[in-house]
Amino acid sequence: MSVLGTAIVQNPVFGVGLTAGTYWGAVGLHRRLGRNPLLTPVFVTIVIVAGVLELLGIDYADYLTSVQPISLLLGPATVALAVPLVVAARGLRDAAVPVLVAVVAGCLTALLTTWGVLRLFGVDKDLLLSMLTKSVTTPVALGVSAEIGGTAPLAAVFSIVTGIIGAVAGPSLLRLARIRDERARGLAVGVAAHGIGTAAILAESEKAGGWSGAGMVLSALLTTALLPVVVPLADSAGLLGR
Amino acid sequence: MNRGPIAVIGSLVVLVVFQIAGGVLVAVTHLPLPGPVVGLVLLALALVIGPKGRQWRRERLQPSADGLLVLLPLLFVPAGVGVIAYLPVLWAHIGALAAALLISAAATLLVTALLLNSLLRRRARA
Repeated sequence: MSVLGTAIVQNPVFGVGLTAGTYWGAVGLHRRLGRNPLLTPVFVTIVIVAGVLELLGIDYADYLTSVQPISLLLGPATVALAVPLVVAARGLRDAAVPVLVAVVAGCLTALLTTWGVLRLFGVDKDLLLSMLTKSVTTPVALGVSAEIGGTAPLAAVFSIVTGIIGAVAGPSLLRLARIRDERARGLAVGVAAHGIGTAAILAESEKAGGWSGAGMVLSALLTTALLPVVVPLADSAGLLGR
Repeated sequence: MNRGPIAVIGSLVVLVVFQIAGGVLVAVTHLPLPGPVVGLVLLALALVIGPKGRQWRRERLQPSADGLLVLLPLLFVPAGVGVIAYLPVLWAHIGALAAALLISAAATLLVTALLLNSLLRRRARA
């Protein structure tokens, strides 16, 4: 690498600059191209940054060290999810039982279908564990995945891809199923596709967006409470494979 | 008093304090949960139960909570980039993984929406 190249790459803010700069560009691109969900900025940024690291021959571990100021904000940002939850609290309280029933059923569906399909294909246990948290918002997926023995980068990517699927296909799938109630549309997208889905359904209506945010937080809480208890039991019963 | 950039620091401190409180609670009780998630629950409880919850949310939290939640996708990037190390594994199982992602997303959406829809409708009729 040239002297100039080395000076840039070894600068302590290189990782932050590359990541934030790429994200900034990806957000601009996303807006310019009519907010196409396939161009979701976080997805585009991951692909480009990974490509740049490959191209420059930078180790992931070195990148991770230099990008620590960004990673460090994930904790406070997770705590901040309390705000949209509290904002939606009143509407949710008025429909507490239906909401809880729907969220529990949705979370169980997410877990059981993932487990079922992957077991059917005979996929390895570590891959399976990394995918169980896929419907949950990414910071929570990272935390829970570490807790149950999954692999953090895989959990993050499965969560992001799930969000994109929900954002791209969710609204039309619900239309096909003739679900018109904004609350049901919102909650379902939040449970199935967390924050990325929430951003997409927010374009339909603010109410759907609020309910989606609630679905996201409730499913995150339920999955967080459930998986660390259930996974060891399922594992000792041999249900997770090798 | 709380207006301006300095309010962002104040609200960030609140979030960090709750994150640490969540971490401490996890360490003490051995709860199988990530510290920040417990912090989230503690903060939500404080905002709902606390006598000045509404005021706190608007004045002490909104400045940095809004900013952080807008930035949330950016914060996933470092973890997501780590996937480059796993591309061979992912590629080897691409069919199974794609099937699981698509089937599970569709089933979750439909089960949640249909259930809530019919429960809300039944209650409206009652």
